[in-house]
Amino acid sequence: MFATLRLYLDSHRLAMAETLARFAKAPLASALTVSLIAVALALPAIALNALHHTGALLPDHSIPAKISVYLRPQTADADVRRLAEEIAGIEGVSRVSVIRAEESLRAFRQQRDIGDMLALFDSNPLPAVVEVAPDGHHDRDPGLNLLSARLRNLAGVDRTETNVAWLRRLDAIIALAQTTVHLLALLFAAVVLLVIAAIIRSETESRRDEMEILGLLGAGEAFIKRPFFYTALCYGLGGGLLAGLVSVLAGAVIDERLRQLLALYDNALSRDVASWPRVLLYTTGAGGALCLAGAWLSLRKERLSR
Amino acid sequence: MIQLHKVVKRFRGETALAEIDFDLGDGEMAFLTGHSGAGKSTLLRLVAAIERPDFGRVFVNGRDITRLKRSQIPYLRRRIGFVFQNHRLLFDRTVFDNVALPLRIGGAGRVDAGKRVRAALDKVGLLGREALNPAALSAGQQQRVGIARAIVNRPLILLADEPTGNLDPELSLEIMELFGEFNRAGATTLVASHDLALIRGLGHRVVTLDNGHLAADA
Repeated sequence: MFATLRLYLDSHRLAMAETLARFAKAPLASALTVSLIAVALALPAIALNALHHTGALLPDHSIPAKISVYLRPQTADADVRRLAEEIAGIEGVSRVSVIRAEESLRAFRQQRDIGDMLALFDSNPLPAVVEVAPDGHHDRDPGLNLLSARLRNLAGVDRTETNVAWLRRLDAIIALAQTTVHLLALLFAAVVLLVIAAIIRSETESRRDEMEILGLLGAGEAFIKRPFFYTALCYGLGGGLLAGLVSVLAGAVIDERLRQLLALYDNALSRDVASWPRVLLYTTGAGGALCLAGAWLSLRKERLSR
Repeated sequence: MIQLHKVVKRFRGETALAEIDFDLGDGEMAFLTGHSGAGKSTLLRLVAAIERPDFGRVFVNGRDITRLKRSQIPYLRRRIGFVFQNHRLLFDRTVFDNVALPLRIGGAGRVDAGKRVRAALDKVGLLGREALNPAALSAGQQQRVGIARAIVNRPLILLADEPTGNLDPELSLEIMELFGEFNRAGATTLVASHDLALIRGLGHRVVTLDNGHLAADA
């Protein structure tokens, strides 16, 4: 049992040593292949990483959702109070507070430009507003949207506005970007898989004589194929690691830009973004797995010995 | 050790071996001769399971190898040392690595492999050339590397297909005598050669094939 395991591990060690020796003999060709895989993996990795950062930087739902219910202008105070009470009784509403038209006017007057403009009106053009804080079940879509629609349909209500509308739009943009990036990532993964399959195929073709000799000397298929799997694994791990390094560097640049972008959306929050060891781990793992799969694809039907 | 029962082998309709019955005892040595295309190589290749017979049975060491699964063939070949006419060495590695291949395949330890490779090279008179590339050797020396590779595993059976095909008479005799030595050390040995003048003088059994038929056995 122990001896069998030793034999098995030994044969792996030999296959690995042979693979590395082969790389050392053709460093340029190997470096080109590794770079090719690195580029193919880095593109989706950077995009996925950027998406991940966006998600991490977004305020998400840490801003309490709020629905501003604008009542028709000139609604009498009594009606405003009645409506506010009615709204408070609606399912999904946690708290309401009323901003009367006069209060809005007072607040606006303090801002010089708007205040001057307001002086042009005979009467107060501003509506009363009922600020609604939804409960835990209605503070995000689709609940928030439904509640907002319900409030909008109340008699005496002009329109409603949620403070997280921009967030929803950004969510939609991100969802679109996510789908696109995931599709691209799949395509690039396929590229890596096929490139490795082609490389391994051409390597077996160019070493057919050697394979045949090994077979004649009593090597089994697994023994003959093993170095090719190690070759693919090395390409994948090397390419993946390089792709990881590139995307970590790119991530640092993109991160800065993202913060600037999100600052435009009033976002003062930021959480820790994906740590670089994790990025390296993912790309290296993906590279290794894809290249092994590529080698398997290339070798699965192949008989290398006679 | 090697038995063929009514073995027929055809290649694209051409009969290479026609109902051959042949028996080589444990520890015996024989030469297989005949003109080019008589079926010598085919017979050797059947014994090493490189080819399969169309009819009949091939037994090696008491086992019917015509019924071997593909996955079992490597184990058969590890008991057989095969010397090829064009020696089939790998020119991208040293003499040492070439000879060590069967040991690597069999999973020998590094220290043990080193000893056995040097012992094999010593037997064929090439000790001290381990680090060279086979391309740096003469044709006769390359053939001897091929022989060292065939015997390094101490095989039960030694098969050689025209091992002196490209060599001058003096070298050829040396090589054939080497096979005699390995046979005396216990390996059942079967050597295919068209060089009748050479093998007649060696005093071993000579089996003659003619157009796939067994023509003489003496």
